[in-house]
Amino acid sequence: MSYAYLFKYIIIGDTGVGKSCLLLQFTDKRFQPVHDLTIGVEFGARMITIDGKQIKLQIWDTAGQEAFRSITRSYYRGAAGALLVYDITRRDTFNHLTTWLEDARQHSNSNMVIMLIGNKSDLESRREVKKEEGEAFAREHGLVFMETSAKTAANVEEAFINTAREIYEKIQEGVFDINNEANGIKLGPQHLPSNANTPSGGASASQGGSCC
Amino acid sequence: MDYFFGFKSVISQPDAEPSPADTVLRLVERVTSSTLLEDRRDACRAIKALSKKYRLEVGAHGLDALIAVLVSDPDLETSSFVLETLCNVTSSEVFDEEGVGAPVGEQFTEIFLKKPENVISVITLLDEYDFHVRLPAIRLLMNLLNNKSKEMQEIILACPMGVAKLIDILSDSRDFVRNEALLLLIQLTKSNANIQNIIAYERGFDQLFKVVASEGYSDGGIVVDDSLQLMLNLLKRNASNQTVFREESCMKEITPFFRSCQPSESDPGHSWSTQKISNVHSMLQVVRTLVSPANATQVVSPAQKNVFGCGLLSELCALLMSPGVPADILSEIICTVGESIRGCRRNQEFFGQVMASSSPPRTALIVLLMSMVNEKQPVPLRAAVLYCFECFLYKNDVSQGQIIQALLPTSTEAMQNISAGQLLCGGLFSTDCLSHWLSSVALSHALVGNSNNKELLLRVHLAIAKDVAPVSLLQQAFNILQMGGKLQTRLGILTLLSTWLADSSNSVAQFLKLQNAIAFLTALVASNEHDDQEVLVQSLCAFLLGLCVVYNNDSNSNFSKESLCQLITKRIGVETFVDKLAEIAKHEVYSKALKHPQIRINTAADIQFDHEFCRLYKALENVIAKAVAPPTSPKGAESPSESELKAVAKYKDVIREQDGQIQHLRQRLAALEGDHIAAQSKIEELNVNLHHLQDQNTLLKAQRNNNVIIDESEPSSQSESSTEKLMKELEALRLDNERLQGQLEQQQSAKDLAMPVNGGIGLAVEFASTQSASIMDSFTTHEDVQVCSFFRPESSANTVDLELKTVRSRLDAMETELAETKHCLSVSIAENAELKEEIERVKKDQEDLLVLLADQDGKVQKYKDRLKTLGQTVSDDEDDELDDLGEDDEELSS
Repeated sequence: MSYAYLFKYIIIGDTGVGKSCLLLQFTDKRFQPVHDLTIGVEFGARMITIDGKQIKLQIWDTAGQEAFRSITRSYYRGAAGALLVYDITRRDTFNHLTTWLEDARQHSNSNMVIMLIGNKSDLESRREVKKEEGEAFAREHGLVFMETSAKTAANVEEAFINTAREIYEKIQEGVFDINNEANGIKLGPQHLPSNANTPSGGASASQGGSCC
Repeated sequence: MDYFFGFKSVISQPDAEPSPADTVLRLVERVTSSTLLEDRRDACRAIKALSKKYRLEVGAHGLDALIAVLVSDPDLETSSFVLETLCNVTSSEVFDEEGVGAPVGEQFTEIFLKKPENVISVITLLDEYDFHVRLPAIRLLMNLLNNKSKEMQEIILACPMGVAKLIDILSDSRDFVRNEALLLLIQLTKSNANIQNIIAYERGFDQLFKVVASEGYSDGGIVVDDSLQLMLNLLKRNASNQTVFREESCMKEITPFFRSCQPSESDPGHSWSTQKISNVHSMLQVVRTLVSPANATQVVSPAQKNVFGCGLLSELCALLMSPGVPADILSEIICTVGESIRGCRRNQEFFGQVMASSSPPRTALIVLLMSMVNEKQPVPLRAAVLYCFECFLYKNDVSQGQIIQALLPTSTEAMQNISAGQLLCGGLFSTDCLSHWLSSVALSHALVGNSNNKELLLRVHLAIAKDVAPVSLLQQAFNILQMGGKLQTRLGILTLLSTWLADSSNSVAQFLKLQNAIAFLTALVASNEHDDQEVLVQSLCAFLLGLCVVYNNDSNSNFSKESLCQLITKRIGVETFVDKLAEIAKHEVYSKALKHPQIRINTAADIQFDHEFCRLYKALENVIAKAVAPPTSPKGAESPSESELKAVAKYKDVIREQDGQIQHLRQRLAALEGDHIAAQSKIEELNVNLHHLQDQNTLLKAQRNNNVIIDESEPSSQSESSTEKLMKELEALRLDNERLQGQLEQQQSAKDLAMPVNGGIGLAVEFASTQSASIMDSFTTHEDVQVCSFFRPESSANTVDLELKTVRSRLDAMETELAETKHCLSVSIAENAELKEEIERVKKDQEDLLVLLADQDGKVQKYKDRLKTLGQTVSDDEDDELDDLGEDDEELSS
């Protein structure tokens, strides 16, 4: 369970675009066609490997409804990455992206990696937003773009991992201050001079305590 | 300013001391109108000084002005005064200076909260590091929160950085500031899951563990307790945060906390301070919140694994066995250990092997059970041991078996070591009624859901005294019941018997064999005592009697199902029986016990039901009532209950089966639907593909018709069309050829004409004809090629193309040659014309000459005639000659 880094993500976007389903597909590899509305936030975690390093992703799935918008704002600050999701079969969810992005930029730290996700790519026949439009929006606002399907799992894995890779690269470039955990990045236990995970080591008790 | 101030006061209050309201008013005016920073600051300071004693006045007149200063004034000192004033104004306590008065803090809070921006400006002031500002700001928020908790929670939630800023203060290096923030957060997180989640998200657990560690774990002061209270708030009934807690591996931070509880080497006998007790108690609550049976299984079992994995369980067990732990903490530890192992095999095994440091060596379990049956131990501790023991046996048939096995006569060697079962049986014989209850309930847990053990326990015999033959445990239990005794003894035994007989027809048969068993039960149920406690016993007896009916295998003819039912109908009356049966459920202890497995008794006299027994009762109460109730139709009086029961059981089975089938079919349906959708989308996709390909096809065809683009994917149609094309070209060439031939013929005729005049033309024509012949030749070869390609359409179209190209080039060459020939022809025609012209000229000359000759002839004739006249003879010869000449001329002219 040890990891080199821990990244905190948030998933944002209008209600019903499939945020919770994306999370469920990523963490549990399953699709739940009927899902209750997310109240407040939900939480999921998974380990991935980038560059041979174990990276733990902690993902906070926010509620898309307007009523919870102010709560969602509280989550921007501590996140290293955000998945901004819209539904390709609902034009209005695409139109609201600007509002979401403004919100995110205003309340997050400037280095937060935002990935634009056009979800429900399996519903090609009901498509209302062209892929090119999503690409154009992403280009214009400097986001990474991807179309996914939480139902068929297409690109879901990639969306989360590519975001992580981007964050990882930013760390390598020294853009992120990894010692400030408020940025949504935490160094793994092996980076710390810790010996606290030996349960029977009674002698090291005081030492293990002080390092925490 | 002061001058005016004084002036005003002189005018308005000429003869008296200014009233407090006036003073406040004046100060407020100063605050609002003053332009000087110092002046404003002084006024605020003065208002602050008055704000306790004249709270009502300050609040009523000054609130708006103070808020305005708060929002706009950049001066920290002023802000500090304003915040402190607001603290006083909104405080819920009544100050001594104030004297007796209605608490107005809440009303002012209400006014203050009318504008959420006010709260936001206070939160913004938290950014100031100066504690003169930060501290009163926290206190003000605290007051507001105390007075209007819900509203404040909403406002702070709506403020984007609100909660985050408060958490940041937890890492303030100044303890007194941090501690205030801690108290504020405790208040803020009360029953608001959203705020709890944000705090967990903002690494709240981490921060709290840092505080706990820096304060010295269990030996720390009240701050440790506060931190743990906040942690409890974050975790209680919040599954999401419990997951976060686990995911962030916070569990291992708890281990050092309990390690710090171990008595130090230097001072082993040191007793715990009240604070330490409180700290440890809170931390135990944290652990129990995570592993509580009230949580969902999918949350509990990973948490239990975690407790084991990070060494917490072994630490707790070590603490359990270490001296000096206060009794109430010990009970709590026992419960915590119990919940940590409940239903988790790995943890149960670990616990079963924990040894106590006693001589002779005993397992911790035995030591605990010994204290359970020891009436000198505190009651809550004994109840905790029972709870822990139940947790140990919960869903653990191996340990259940071991407990019973140890009681069997075969394992006599084991008798030297005291076993858990022996301790429990011993408990049944003790003089303490609580021991009876605890032991019998504990024993009953070895039987829960384990029919094998129920059979085995029937074989257990006890030697009560040395010279008396051993009696069976069942007999002994019944004997105790018969002897009467205290309520708890009887409740315990009845619990044990009920669990024993339920779902075990052998046990029922054995029980029915006991002398007086049924008579005793019937008598008790039928008795008319209305004592509260007695009613409970009657109810339990009715339940036991009912079990004898339901699980009767009719092996005992005296007490077959039928006869028992008749007995109940005759001796008790069905209605009375059912009423008595229902009594248990009416007791308040029942519903409590049903809710949570933990046993909570504080004094030996407390009545308590066992959780598992209550579940059993709940499941079987209706079954018994139906089994005993008289049939509705008189015909089926023989054994309606039995057939009904069977039918019900059958139907239940059928329903269960169908349910399973439905479930299965539903799943299949879902899967198939999914497949169907996938297939549909695939078909759609393929259709689109097909359309696309067709379009491409037409496009290619069109392209090929234009440019003869060779598409290798369709060789036949391609060759066909290329042949067509070639044919067309051939036709064109033929036409060309014909045209050329026509031209040639023309030229040939022209040549025939010109031949006599100029031989050069003949040469040119010769050349042209050979050219045309070669053209013809090339056509034949070309045709050959075409025929070939026509018959072998798959043969490389490139050859055809190549051939076509060569033909074309040859045609070009021929055309140029033709042009050359044409040129030659025109040259020869020109020459021809020239020659004609010459001929013409010659003819003309000749005519001229003829005319001249005729003239001469005339002259000659004239001269002849003159000569003749002159008399000269002219010879005829000369005449003839002249005539001949004329004839010749005539011939020529013709």
